[in-house]
Amino acid sequence: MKQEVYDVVVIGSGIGGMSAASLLTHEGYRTLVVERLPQIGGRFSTVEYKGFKLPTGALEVEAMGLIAELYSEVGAGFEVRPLAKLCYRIGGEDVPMLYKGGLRALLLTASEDEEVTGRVMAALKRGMGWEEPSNSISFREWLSEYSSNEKVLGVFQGMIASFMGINAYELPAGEFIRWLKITRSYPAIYGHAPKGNLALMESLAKAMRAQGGEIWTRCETKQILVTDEVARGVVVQTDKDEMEIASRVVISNAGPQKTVELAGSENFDKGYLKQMKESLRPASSIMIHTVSDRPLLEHADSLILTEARRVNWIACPTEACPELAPPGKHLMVSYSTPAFNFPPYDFAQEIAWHLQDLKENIPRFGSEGDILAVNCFHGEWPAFRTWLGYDLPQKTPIENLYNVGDAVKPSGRTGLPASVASGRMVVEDVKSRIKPGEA
Amino acid sequence: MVVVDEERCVGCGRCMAFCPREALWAWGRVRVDTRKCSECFGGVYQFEQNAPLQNRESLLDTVATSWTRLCLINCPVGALRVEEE
Repeated sequence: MKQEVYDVVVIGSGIGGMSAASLLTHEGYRTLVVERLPQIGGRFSTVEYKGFKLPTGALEVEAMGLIAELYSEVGAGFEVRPLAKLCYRIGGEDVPMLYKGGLRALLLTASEDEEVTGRVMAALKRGMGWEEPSNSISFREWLSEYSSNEKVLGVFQGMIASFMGINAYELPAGEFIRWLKITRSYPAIYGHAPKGNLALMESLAKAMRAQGGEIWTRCETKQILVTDEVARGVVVQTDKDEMEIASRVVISNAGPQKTVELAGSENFDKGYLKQMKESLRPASSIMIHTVSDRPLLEHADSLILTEARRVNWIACPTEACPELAPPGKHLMVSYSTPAFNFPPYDFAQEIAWHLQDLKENIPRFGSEGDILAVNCFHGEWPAFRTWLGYDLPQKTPIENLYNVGDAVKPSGRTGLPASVASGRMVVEDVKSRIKPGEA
Repeated sequence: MVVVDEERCVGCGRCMAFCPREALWAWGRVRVDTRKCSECFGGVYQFEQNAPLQNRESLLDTVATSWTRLCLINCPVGALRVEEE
């Protein structure tokens, strides 16, 4: 068996793994990313189908914030075109989400009542400024103390399902307040990558390689090597060989359950295994790609539904980035969340409801839309590896073995920035403990 | 012939995008059009390209040679396999 030696090996090239890998490479650590699939990016990547560049999971990207900061720090190109308009559909009206005062405007439209709006806004402000609500109740339960107006509840349901992939009655109340506080700290400008999200990941990879980092694709990790409760490296299978790679640090972006499987459950204490089993709640989603000769959304290129039975978010990325489709064609991507994020799922029914929502909310969907693909995310390949508030720590019981990604995200973070944040946290810990070149 | 393990398949549809013959269709779960799925040797590496055709079947899914189906190697959960017809 061949052998190699690195400072850090990262298993998996999702945004969490690549964040950690690119930052560590930038700091001078000899870093290798091993990716099982032929292309990088995981659920933040692109596949090309019939001339359309389709997302493999996440679609919109924050144009400012943690992701942009990462790319800037490691010297990677970051091309994201902002959305033209994000709207919430309330009572049949498409209400723009303004950068300042947007939430108040949505609630006023929903409630048509200044007093209710004021009461809810005051409660949110108090939660952010004085004391967060307890995580022992759901956000919906907490909110219903201030308003029972279904349209008001619908605004938050649409927002939570779109950004977090779960329902308002599944999200711990404190987590929402923490997320809201973080989100309001910088302009929430979203956009699309004109060449697809794979291009963004390849830009990060290019920056990493330029600084000496390596990325091996078609390279499956078979084992994480552990001796005396310390991670020592990995065994991987490439196209040609099985190889042993020694490293001081192993960072896994494969999800905590896969990490345990690779390292051997006998190397983890019972408490961690119990915590993992009881905490992790993968969130499921259905994503439908519809193509047309004219844009199917009338007033926005990103629309959050607040009163549909399942669909929470509809985006038309080709409005900002026509390059994502063949000339003259338009792409619409819609997402829905099951009513309960617990298996078993009846995906046939969920898809039927998703399509029904599209027919009822997009007037020309039936006459002008052609469904290109219906994608489901759950189980081993979920929309989110765990609900907000149900995360594990990045450190594992095995010294120098970390997890990154959306099962170990810091509190109050969701989606892509959450995975980037987890990567940064691991990098800071590695830097505090191990110097580059000690391999 | 490519076969889908329906218990492992999550329906993400990546395989569909990589199939050169459009033999896969994702609608909640993935289905294989058996009329289109055959004789597909979408090898990522070409160093076995001179192997005689009658020998290629025996090389399928052999990691050392890289002659394998694009759908298989792009499945994130390993839900596809090749079975003798």
